[in-house]
Amino acid sequence: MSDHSVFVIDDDEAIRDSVLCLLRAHGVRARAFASGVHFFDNLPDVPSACVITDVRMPGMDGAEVVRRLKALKGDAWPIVVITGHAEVPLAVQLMKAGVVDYIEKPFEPNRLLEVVRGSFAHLDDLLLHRAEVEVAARRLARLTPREREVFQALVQGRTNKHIANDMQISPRTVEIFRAKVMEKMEADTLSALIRAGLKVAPGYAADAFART
Amino acid sequence: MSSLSSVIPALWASVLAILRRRGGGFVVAIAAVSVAVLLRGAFELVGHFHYLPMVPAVVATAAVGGRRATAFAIALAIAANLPLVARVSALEAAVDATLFVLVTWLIAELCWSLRAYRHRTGELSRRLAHREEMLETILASMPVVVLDRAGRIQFLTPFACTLLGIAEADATGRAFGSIVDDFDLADFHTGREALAGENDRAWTCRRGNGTVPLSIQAGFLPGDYANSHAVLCLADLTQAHLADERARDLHTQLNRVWRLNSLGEMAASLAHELNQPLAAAATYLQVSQIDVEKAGLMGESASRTIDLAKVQLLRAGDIIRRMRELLAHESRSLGVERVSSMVADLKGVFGMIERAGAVRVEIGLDGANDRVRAERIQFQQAMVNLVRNAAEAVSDRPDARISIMGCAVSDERYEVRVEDNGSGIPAEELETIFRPLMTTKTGGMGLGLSVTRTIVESHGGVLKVEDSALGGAAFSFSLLREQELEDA
Repeated sequence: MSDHSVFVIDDDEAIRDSVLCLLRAHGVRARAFASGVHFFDNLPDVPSACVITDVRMPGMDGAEVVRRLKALKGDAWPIVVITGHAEVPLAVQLMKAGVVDYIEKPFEPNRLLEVVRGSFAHLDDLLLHRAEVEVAARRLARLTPREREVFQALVQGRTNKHIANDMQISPRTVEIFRAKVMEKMEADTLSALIRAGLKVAPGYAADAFART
Repeated sequence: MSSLSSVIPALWASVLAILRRRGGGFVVAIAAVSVAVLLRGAFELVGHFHYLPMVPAVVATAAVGGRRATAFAIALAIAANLPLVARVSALEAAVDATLFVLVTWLIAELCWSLRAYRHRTGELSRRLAHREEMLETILASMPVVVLDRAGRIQFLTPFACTLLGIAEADATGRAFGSIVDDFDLADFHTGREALAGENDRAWTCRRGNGTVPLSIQAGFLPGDYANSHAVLCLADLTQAHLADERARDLHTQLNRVWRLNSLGEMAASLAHELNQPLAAAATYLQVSQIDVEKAGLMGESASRTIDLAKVQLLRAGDIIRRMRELLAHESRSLGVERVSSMVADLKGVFGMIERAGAVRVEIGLDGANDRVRAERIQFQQAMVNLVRNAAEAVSDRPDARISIMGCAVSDERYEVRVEDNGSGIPAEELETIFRPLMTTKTGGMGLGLSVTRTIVESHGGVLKVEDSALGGAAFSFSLLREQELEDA
């Protein structure tokens, strides 16, 4: 499995211990917390992790854990809820709040493993995507304002002729700009350039560049 | 004569006008004595009358004036007499004058007491008329029936006619017992006091196709009048009975819901408690499988057996789940309700709690923006649970107080709080109070708060507890507001 951690929050000692055993047996780094309060007081300093939490716990309940964790970490920490007390409205509420899955106790241990693997895969994708975005942003930063303009127009699918017209320069100059943009963005084809453009500024809003 | 009859009232009116002024009596005295002197002058042709003509003058003054004016008139009369009447001796003149004073003063005293009586009688009759009017007004607004000794109706007010559904003409002379079932005047005779009778007793009056529940208060007239012996004051209990019935109905319904909820809660807590070890066991088995599989062929067989054990554990979980679904509350369908209306229904139930525990339940709900998504009876169950809990917490206080507050706290949520001024919940118990089968009370099952929490959670809320500003505990939860309808 990947290099992510799993944090288990449950007030039941046996659940904590057995899930830790299961995860560690599958080579996953895992740590358990007896309560939400304890978890947030000792929040592990890792960029990404999967959190498995119970719902009914004294002090801070699972819904509150989900809410706080989402506010704190967003999608970087996928959350799996396990509960011995399944209620449809609660499940709906938690799914809406963005938990990856909602598992009823007693659960098939393989199901839990699958969900953890699934969220790890999601994390991998997320991290990969983030890395690509970072690279694209770094490359984008190398463009001059004029080159950026050309890049923007290219990503929007405009032809050289149009760009020349819009920028009031000769098609020849556009050719030169285009070659420079391709070189600086390290794209060998136009489609690779467009992919980079979408990554770095999805939707292409006016302030897209400033955001990345 | 006609001119005279018109002159006299006119004269009298002018005399009264003079009298009303200060010193009017003196004017009358002068005028009366002058007239008397003139009259006596006229009578001189016939004979000597001396003081006699003066008497009416003094009486006239006394009739309209006070003591001073009368004394003044007497003095004037004597003064007018002395020079005019020739006297044999001074002694005779003095005796005549004294006699005149005595006689006229006596008559004047009589006049004054007569006037005082007249004044008092006028006052009395005015007061009587006022009381009569009051009595009429009271009677007109109340259903009152007057019976004779035999229990026959002698008089009844229009209101009583309407209440009994009978025309006044038909009712008069009829036995009251023929209109109202089981009525017996003797029942009221036990106490001789004016308002006797059993306060709690209700009578039934047959009216048209239906019946009307009545309460009757009877008063007995002290005198021995043949026709009016007892005065009955009737009251229509229909509304009161309906209200009682509604409160009882709601209470029965809440009790039924409570039993179902308790059973569901027991099942749920059992399920929850059992599911934990089942889940842990299944997970442990899975872990052991990993180790066992490393042992090769032997391990494979063991692993298959472990698989079977795991399946059985999960089956136990399924059985629990099915049982829970069976006992759990029927599928909760949240409707749009107003918090103030749901709580208003409970006033009768709160009234019972107030009387039983000598507490005061104050309701301070914001009736604006209180449309929420809720299941009426379940919400009411939760409220009654919280209030009942609070009432138990404050039972040993002399100024026991429970406050129910509610207001919209955000665009999405309406918060309801139940607070009391009891001793509060110790910090070490805060963790466990919501757990089913945990109780600090001797007579409880420990399900109240956990049922309440389940209800709140099924409404998408969280039941919270904290210290109240009143000194005791404050339980609060919030409901989802229904805004689209609010704006409409």
